[in-house]
Amino acid sequence: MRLSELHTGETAYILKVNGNGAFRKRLQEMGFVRGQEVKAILNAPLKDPIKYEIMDYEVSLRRSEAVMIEITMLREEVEQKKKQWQSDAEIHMDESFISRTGESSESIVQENRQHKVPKNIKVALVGNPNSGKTSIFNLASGAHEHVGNYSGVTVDAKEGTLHHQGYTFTLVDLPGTYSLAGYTPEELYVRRYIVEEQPDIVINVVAASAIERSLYLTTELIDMEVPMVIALNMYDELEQSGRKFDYRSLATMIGTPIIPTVGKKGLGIPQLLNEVIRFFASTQQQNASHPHIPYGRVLERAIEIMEREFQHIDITPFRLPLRYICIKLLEGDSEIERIIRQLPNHQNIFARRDKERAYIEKLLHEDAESAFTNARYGFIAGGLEETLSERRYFSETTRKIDAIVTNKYLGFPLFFLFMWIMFEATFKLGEYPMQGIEWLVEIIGNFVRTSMADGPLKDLIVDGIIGGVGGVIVFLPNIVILYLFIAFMEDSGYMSRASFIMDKVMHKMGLHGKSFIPLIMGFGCNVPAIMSTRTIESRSSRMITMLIVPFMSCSARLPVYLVFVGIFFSKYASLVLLGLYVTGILLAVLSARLFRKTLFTEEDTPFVMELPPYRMPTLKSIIIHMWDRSNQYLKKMGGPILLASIVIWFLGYFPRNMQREAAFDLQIETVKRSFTQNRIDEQAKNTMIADIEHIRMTQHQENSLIGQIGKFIEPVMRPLGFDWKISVSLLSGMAAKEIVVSTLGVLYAGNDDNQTSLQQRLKAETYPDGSPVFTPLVVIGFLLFVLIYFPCIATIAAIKEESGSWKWAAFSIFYSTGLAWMVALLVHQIGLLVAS
Amino acid sequence: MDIQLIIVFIIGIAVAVKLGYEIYKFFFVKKDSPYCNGCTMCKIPDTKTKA
Repeated sequence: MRLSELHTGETAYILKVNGNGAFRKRLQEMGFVRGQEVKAILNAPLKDPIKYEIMDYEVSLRRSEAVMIEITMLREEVEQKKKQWQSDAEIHMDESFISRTGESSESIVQENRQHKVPKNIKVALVGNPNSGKTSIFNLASGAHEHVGNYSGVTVDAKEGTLHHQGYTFTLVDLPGTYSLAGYTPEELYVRRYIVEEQPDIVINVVAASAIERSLYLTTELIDMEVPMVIALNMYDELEQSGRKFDYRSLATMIGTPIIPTVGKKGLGIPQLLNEVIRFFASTQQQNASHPHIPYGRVLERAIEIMEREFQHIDITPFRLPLRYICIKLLEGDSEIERIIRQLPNHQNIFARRDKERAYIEKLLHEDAESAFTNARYGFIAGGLEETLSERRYFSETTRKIDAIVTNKYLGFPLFFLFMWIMFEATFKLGEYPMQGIEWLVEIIGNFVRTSMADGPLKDLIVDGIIGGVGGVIVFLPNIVILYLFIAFMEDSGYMSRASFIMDKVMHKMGLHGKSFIPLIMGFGCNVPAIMSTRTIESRSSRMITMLIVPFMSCSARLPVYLVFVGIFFSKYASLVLLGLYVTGILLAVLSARLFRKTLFTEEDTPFVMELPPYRMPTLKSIIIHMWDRSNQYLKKMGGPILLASIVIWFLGYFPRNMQREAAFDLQIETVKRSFTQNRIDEQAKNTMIADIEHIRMTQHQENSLIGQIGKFIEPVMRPLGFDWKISVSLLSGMAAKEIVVSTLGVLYAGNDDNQTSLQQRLKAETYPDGSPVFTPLVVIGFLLFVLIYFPCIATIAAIKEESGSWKWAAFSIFYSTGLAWMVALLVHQIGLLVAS
Repeated sequence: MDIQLIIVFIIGIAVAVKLGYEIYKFFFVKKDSPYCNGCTMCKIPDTKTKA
């Protein structure tokens, strides 16, 4: 029987995982090992993927992947087979375990003060995705690193420092990983970091709520012989489930200290740091002995034989223990194989390795890689059998919520309803504080206008700085509200569910559900979204996701939308906003399909994704999230946006043509003289002066440096209905999208003596013939262009870094800009045809 | 010369220098913190990143 045949609510036992390479390895390290109990929980709305419960946590698998797992529903059958497997491998706890625990942390900290122990400790945080590493990192270091309730929040190493008991800790938060097998970029990254950077201590963060699976990584770290302290995080969840855990006995068994922690509340962190100091001091004062995982007679013999092959070889440059090298060679780890190939007698080593692998397969009836994985899980199961009691209370909250949000009929409507509420709140709730900031900008603008003498400095302040920066800063409340919703999605666990229900749709695009997380993250900022594509195993899927992320409307594009949507589509603002976001998603879908069919035809990898339990986001984490975002937005105002506004103003202000200015002054004088001679009335005088000022400004701008640049690119943009000013704003927006608004603010400075909002100025802007510059048709084309063409230089640089070549960065620029031009052209030309 | 014009020129020179430096940094300086390639939207106070 296959796992895919298991009906919802049924339980079975795994007999064998078929398939090979990364696919099988990923399933096995996630806990799909022989003898393991698995339960089908529910199907996604489109019948695929399926949610299973295994090792006390929930995971989703596609039907096509579940079919690769052989199961039985008979407990007796699996019990019988277990006996057979155990006699094959002879896995047992033996005396090779070395205990390092037992002494009181406090007493040793006191004792260490007497000894000369270095006072700086470099500590790396290693653990499964979503195990709470970043929460511990933030609490310990006082940083505000982003945390979320889904896998892969951390995609790079982040460093923070803290002082405790007279010691300085350098904490390094590493990306979450299920193992150190070297199949995925984050697995390789963490392993290389441990080997190359050699942290003094590794804190292995183990999620107490999924302890069995989490300890798999621990066994690999034990093999690597890294000095390690285990933080048993989310310990409160384990206690709430009614379990009793004798973690001290387990610590003794595996020779590694275990400290229970609750990262979210900061419980156990001081004790954890004390233990790190104690353990660090003990490694400094004596030659550390290392515990070994007992792999059973067959595998141990193979390891021993392999070790003999290295007898006369100096392996110290590899910075890896011999036993670990041998295990990984037997497992067929490509990274270790690459290292060994550098040795002169590598042919002999590989020949021996192949022989041993064949020997293992013959005796254990499974390949070496599976044998090691099964042995590790066997070891964990043995250790937990003696120390961890059965779960007594089962929280139904997650199941109940999932029954609604992933329901066949309700799943998709609820997702879109949530998105609609997000945009409605962003627009409607943000409007009130926005009006307040707008009023403040007007007050400041008018104050400068009335209190300063006429001259270039006044123009720079009023038109350049207040017009440019003021036009963007008003959208701060909207950005904060948008991030409030994104933070809620991330912290609650809904993000993973969104991926779960979208997997089938993503699969049709040639991607998988995991790609959906970077896409949603892209609504916030495209740069971290592109960084987060690292969690996608397949390079082809990663590349496609990376190239379509820029179609996700980032928060920097929101101010551009809000400026225009507010004046031209005020009745349907939320729907238009949602429409823009949906258009971005549709274009991403179409592009992904195109890329899959043309550029990346390779098959994608399995969709094995952990579905974390729902957790209520804390007020503190939400406030931190919003505060950080506001802070960064304001910093951006004072940095690149201020700089760009001043540059655009300079380019628009110079060169000054004194003769032309004098001619306009003369015309104004003539009008004034006519008024004093009673040849025209006051109203006519004001109208004539306003007309002359308008022509003066238009002529000046057209002859300025920015006008010349705009006129140069205008022929390309004219078919889209864009004048040269719009073209220039799009050009300057390549640095950062908010600069589109600040440039419009500087270029459409208006003729009014009073400071008016940018929206009013844009609406009032006309061509010399009196026709409006911005019609709803032009605005739609413009907004679509802003949505589609590449978001900013930082995003392009991120694509270059993540793809490893400028080629893909350049491709992204040309593809997105070309597509933006085509779409805007079609919209404008079809719109004109329909209107005529 | 008009005092306002002099101040505007000084601001212009300062902005040009800053802009030139930023462009130089983008293309020629190897970043200490290559995380996010210099995008500061997610930059964390009091922490530095390590490649």
